[in-house]
Amino acid sequence: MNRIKKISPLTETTFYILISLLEPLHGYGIMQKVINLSKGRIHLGPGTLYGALGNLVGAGLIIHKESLETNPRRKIYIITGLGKELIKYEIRRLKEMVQNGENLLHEKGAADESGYS
Amino acid sequence: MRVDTVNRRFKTVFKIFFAWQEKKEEKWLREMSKKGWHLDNTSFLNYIFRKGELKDMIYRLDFKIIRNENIDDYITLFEDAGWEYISRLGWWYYFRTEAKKGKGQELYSDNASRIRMYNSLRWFLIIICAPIVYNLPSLYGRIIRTLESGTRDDLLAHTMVINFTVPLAIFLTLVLCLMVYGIISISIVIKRIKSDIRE
Repeated sequence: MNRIKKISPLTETTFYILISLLEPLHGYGIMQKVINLSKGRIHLGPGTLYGALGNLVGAGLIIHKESLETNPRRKIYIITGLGKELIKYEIRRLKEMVQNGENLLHEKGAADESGYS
Repeated sequence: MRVDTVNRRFKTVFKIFFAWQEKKEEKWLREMSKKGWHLDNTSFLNYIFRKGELKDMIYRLDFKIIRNENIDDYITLFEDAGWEYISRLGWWYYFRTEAKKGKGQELYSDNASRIRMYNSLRWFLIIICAPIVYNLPSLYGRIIRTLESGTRDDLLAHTMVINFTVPLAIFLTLVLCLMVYGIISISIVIKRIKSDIRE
């Protein structure tokens, strides 16, 4: 748990890469999945993705999965148990964040409608 | 070297860009492509261009320290993402893609990873500087001692210092100044990115 707290908070990019890897994917597969999940909002740059994959492997959140059927030039990755724990922790954190934002906006922001649509 | 003098299909251009001027270099390469000269290969201070049709191509340089066995995997990812790999020069990798609207034109899509790249470049320059910083004081010490004692003691040692040690010390000092300038430039870029409130 302490290890997870140290890694959190993840950047938006890293969070999306991590949840994409709940199924085994290679780099380009992750890019496609993140575009779909975010409805085209997040286009991962290859430099960003390559660096993030290295960092995630280093932190033990994902592992490189050996695979015979696919092109050996494309490494396949999959999330680890620790990675899944981190996702759960991040979801709780993000829910709290959203809840706090909504509550406060509802309380204090109600008088000023202009800023919220 | 591949220089086809009859058709002028290739040309080599000598040009200096420092490691902290990669944005300037990218811009220059784009201008060259617009004129129909597309980067074909790079070597130290030399750019080899191939003649082709006039095209607006976006160039991006990535600084990445990776092991040889990972290079294939690295380049494949960039190619999958629509970037053509051209060549490498040291730990700089050259990529290009056609300039099109709505297409990703950056290798780094968030500030956090952009800062990471510049940080590793900055560390690389600092490490290069380390041996210079370590050796300069003793070099200057030797010069001062020799000049103080004059030519009386040892004429050969005096000549050696004047002809060899002094130019070397001047050269290393200039290199160090340049490197420090580079490190400061990169630090300013990092600071500018950090002041952006986006992630």
